[in-house]
Amino acid sequence: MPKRDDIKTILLIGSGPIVIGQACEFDYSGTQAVKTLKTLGYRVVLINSNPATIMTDPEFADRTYIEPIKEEIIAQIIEKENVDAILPTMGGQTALNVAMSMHEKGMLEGVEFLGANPEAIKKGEDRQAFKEAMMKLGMDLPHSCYAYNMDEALSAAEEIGFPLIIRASYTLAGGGSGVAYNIDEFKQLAQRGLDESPVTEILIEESLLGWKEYEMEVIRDRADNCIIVCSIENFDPMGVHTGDSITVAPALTLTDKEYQRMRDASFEILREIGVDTGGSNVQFSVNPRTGRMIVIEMNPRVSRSSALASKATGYPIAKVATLLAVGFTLDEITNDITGTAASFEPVIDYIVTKLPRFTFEKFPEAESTLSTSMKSVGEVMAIGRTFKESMQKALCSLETDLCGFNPVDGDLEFIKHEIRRSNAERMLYVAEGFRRGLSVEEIFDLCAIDPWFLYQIEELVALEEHIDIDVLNNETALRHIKVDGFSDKNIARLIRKNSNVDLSENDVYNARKRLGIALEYYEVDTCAAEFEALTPYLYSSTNITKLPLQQRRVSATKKVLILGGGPNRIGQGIEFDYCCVHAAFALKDMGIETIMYNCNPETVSTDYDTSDVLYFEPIDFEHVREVIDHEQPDGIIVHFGGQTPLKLANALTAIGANISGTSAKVIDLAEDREKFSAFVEAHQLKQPQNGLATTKEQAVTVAAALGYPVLVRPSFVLGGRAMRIVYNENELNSYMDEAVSVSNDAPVLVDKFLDQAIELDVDAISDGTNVYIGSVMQHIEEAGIHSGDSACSLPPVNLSDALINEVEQQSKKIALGLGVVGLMNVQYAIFQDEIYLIEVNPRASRTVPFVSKATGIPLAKVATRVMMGESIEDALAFYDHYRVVTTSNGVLKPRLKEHIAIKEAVFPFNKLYGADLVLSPEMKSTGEVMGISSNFGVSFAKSQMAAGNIIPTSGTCFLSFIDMDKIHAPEIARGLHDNGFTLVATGGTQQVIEAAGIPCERVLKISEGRPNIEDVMKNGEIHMAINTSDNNTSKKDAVVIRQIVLSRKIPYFTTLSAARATIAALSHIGNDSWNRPQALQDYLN
Amino acid sequence: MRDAWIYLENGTFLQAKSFGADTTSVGELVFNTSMSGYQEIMSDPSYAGQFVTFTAPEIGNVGVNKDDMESSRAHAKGMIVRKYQQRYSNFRAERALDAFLNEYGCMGICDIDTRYLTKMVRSEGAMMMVASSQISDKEELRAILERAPRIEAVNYIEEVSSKEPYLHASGTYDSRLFCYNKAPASQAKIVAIDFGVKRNILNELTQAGMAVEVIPNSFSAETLIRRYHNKEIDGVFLSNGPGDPLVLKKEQEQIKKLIDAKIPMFGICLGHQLLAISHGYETFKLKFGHHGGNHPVKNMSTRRVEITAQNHNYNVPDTIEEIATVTHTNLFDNTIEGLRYNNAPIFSVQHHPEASPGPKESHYIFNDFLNLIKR
Repeated sequence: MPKRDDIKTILLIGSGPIVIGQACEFDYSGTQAVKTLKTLGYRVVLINSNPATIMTDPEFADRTYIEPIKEEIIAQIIEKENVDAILPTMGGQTALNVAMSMHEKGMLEGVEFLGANPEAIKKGEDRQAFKEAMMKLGMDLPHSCYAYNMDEALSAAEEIGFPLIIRASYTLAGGGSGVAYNIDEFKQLAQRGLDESPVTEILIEESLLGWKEYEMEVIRDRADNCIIVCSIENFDPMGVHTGDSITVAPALTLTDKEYQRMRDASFEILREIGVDTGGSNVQFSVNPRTGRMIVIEMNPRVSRSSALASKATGYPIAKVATLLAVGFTLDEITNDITGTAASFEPVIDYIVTKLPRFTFEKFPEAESTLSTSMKSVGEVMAIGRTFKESMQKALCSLETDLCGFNPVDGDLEFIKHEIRRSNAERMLYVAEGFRRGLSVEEIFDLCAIDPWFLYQIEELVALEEHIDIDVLNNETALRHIKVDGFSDKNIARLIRKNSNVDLSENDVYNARKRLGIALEYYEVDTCAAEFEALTPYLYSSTNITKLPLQQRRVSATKKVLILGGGPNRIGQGIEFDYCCVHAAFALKDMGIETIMYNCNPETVSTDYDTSDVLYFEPIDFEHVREVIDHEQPDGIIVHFGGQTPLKLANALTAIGANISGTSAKVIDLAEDREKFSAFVEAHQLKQPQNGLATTKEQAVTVAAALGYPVLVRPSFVLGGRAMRIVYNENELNSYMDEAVSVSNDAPVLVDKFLDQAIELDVDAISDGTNVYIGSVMQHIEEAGIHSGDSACSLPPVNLSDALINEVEQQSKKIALGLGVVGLMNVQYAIFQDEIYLIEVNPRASRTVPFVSKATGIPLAKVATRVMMGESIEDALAFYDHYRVVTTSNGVLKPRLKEHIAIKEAVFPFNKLYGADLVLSPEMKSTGEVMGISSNFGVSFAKSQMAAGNIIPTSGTCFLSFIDMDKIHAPEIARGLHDNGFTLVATGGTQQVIEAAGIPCERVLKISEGRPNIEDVMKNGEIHMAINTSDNNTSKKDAVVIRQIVLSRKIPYFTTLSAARATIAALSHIGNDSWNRPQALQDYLN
Repeated sequence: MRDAWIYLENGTFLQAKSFGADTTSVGELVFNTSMSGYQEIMSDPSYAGQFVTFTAPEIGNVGVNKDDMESSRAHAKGMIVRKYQQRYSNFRAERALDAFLNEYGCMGICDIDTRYLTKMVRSEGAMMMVASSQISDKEELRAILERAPRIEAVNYIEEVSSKEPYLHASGTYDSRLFCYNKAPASQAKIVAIDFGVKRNILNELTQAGMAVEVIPNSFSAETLIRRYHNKEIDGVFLSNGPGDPLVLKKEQEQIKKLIDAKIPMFGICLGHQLLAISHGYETFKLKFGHHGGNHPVKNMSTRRVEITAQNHNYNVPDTIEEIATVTHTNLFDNTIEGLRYNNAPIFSVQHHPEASPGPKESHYIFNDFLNLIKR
């Protein structure tokens, strides 16, 4: 059947902000879906609150709504845009849940579901319905029971027996789930699950701990044609959320009979659930001793795993699923990679390893044991010809300073403990266990990781001993080592250790080249070379067979290499992938061949049709350098992928690579504190006073000279790691004791902290002669909160024109003074009407996508043209579709339209149990949303709504301010009171408010008796909370309060400025029509 | 592991490692893209005379067990793999692949760039080769290869067909209970002519409700015709098997007689090809054949796509549509995958509905045969 003609307008629902469990994979799938639907001639309407997505670029969908993904807003869009059908299967659990909820409320009358119908979604998602469907098929299931309250939960626990798994219904990434080994743990988990489930439902299940876990990625069309795109085997046994597990494709420990059983079951399940047109993921568990196979769950939509499967095989699941959703059958679709039929099952001749990326270092209080609730913030994928090579490449890709199975410290008992405990680095402890002489059997008994995987690690460890100085002159030995995936850096490390010689990564590289051992490139082609690949999607491997070396790839046109950002993590996420994708698009517009390089399988950048050539490789010096050797690109863009590629700039320049745009020297100047201070002085700019300290005593002296508060941080860290504001000597002393290990190599930087300053962010582009000021953004939170965690407003809310002019002038001076060619981000603090320079980054910043959406000028695309040598005027003219570029004050800038755009950060506190939701100079947010309207208050309210912090319009607000902020309490209280809120506050705060003549009731602190604030919050009597904090508050009631607001989803603000913005919003959101959606295209035109 | 060397008829000479038998062996180089089922492939008699390059990257992981045999022994000349795993992990495993190959004198070549070999076969076609774990001299290997007969010149059927008739008594594998089903009550009786039959074909025929008597390739058509007329048998099945069907003149003669006698017949793979040849339509050799478990085949009557197990180097020509209806088509290259003869109770498929290894969605075809002969 060809495409359907009875539908014209299709609404695609995105997944919203990046959170744990929902990352860029849904931008990847959504972008594929939008492109596919547009090509077919449908009118596409899109809603997604996340501005950092490619899918929300105004040129993709016909109508793009960057609005909160909420029922009432979607309903308005459906009406306004005359939507015929919705595609809810591309936007993760967010899209599926909102669509289902609207369906159940009858809000989708006359709108057809594409991809999966509501009945199928219900059967797949509702655990009871799923269980019944599986029983009907005769599928084996774990013993389980539902509970809707604690009593039911307890009797279920008794019946099934420990250990038990608790799963909350209708949550994403296993939120509210966990494993309980005893009754205390069980009570705690059951309560959390009941709280987190939107329907107050938990499933209590027989534990399958230690069983093997598999996933099947399935596609089915309306003619009942079914294919498996990929099988995935988890390295970690059951008990660890699959998003947190190391996974491998294809499945490696199944015989054909077992594999086919799983395949047949997958198809039966899709048929029974009723997934007629699209992709699904089915998870199985297998008892390693008996082979008993159990169905775990299925997702009737594209998922993180389907993105991985697409990248692992080259088969574009989201694109095919979209085609099926609008009427095609599999046999009518062509496989882009080979030009043959797409109705086949991909086969691969390599091993794919996915490693999750965690950021526990940012949340030291969070529980780091992995369990059934997902905690990782990103992932990497690596491809090798064997598991060993694939795994070691994946470790290099993680960017956690690993160059393979690096050794770990600790005595044998500790090593064993960490092998037993599921944790982010368990694979390293397994390797260390082998180094300390543990056997495969002993390690298996501790962790239940399949012996096959343990054999591989054991063999790698055994080979380590043989890596000595002699291998550098032994072609056979060195080839063998490289074939097993040892990186040059790791080989150098092992030679240093084994032969006690001084040796660098570069020496290993030179030895390899001398011996004729190079990394060579192989296609990801969906077919294991049975057919010729038409799209060059490549990975490296060292060939086991000594064959003539591959010729370097020659291109007819100029070509440019774009280095991507690697795994999503806090501080470096989808925003940077967005910029890299834009670079590829811009180069394509210029007729330049694009070579994309990245290792993150979730991304749009690693879609094979984003660029002309794709390298799926670790972003480290060795692997990048080999690609440069092979490609000899005319230019390399290192400025768009965040710090990951940027920090390679020097090393790449040293080997003669041609960095496009801003040079490594300039990057270095901006990052080197001393050189930069000299620059600041020479250009008569102002920086907060600062100093360096290598000892505790020195730090105290420096701080005293500057005057408290001071901002302290170790040098050479990124993303605000361990950065803190200290207000007195005691705090400084404990910081120096606890937080950092100081040495001459790593001194502590001490800055005068500008208290209550206004922070500004500027994104600019320079061609070396002229400067385009892309935006001046004002942070909502005061300086001191990491810029990535702060909400910000574009345009600024309350700055004078003179001040903005001065900021523009300073930015121009910096760009031209440094010699920036391309993008630059500057952060300023306005303190007592003076402009202080906080930081300059001569690269793409996190705000580039937000600014591009808000102003209509795609900054990264413009910058790419400039980096290729075009003048800024010409580059802007090429992309100025909305005619906004203007010149004044000696700079180019966008003429701002009537709207105000607010960016708000989204945090993972609800996923990382135990983590405290205090904002600080250390970045903690995983994603962002945008609120846009013609009014600051409404935009702010929308941004809060999109971030899940829905501002109430009435009710009781709890207030608690630290002493320093108490003088502002009356102002905040009055704003709330005037808007009809009832106020309650703890002792000191209450007195200040009452004294100002504003009614406010006192509520007891937890230590003061009962009923206290904990009780009233748990009783649902508090509808909003404003609670400011400093370094000490985490030790008091505040911790408990913050945990309650998290679990009860009470809107919560931690800074004065956010409280003020909320009050600004309150006067606008009283009536129903405040959140009227408007398409981005309308704002910009 | 021992060193090993391979020499291909196009002059390629490569060093690798070896497991399995310590020997020197000549055969035809093909590749198979199945990602599971190396044991079934190695014990499939259709691979007699061939070296199978596995594109699957890791081989040996799940060891070998007695249930996954497709015949009584290994038949291929050898297997060529990128990475051999001596240590295995699977609850059904009984021993390592290496020991299995050793038992049947079958070579394993590993630590070699299988993608390179696959691309070579893709562009140059299947070719003859020699492998040795004993001889490292290229010229000596070349001489051995040149002296050895080409695959077309050897009648492997004589080697792999059973010598005596027997009754097959097992149904298909129950992958929940991990054992073979007992044969259900039979509704019809057939003779399966063994050109190197895969065990699972017999299991599927039995499971579908047929009593299966397996007879050697040296059968007499007259006997079968007589038994058919005496209602001792209801139909004849022509099995898969190795090599070039065109050289099987004796078998073709007998099959012609069965066709003329209007005996209901069903053929798979070689059986399918022999039926076409016996109808006067000579098979042709594909460049590198179809070997794997992922080819899409369209069932022309249901319009559905079946993912199929494939293993053939020869194909039936399109001209056969003069006398038969194409029931199945390969969506990769549009070659014929299934036929129903217009004026005869005969149908056949090129792919392997018995799977093992491979997808099982085509196994309805065995019921089709039962329905044909019950009529």
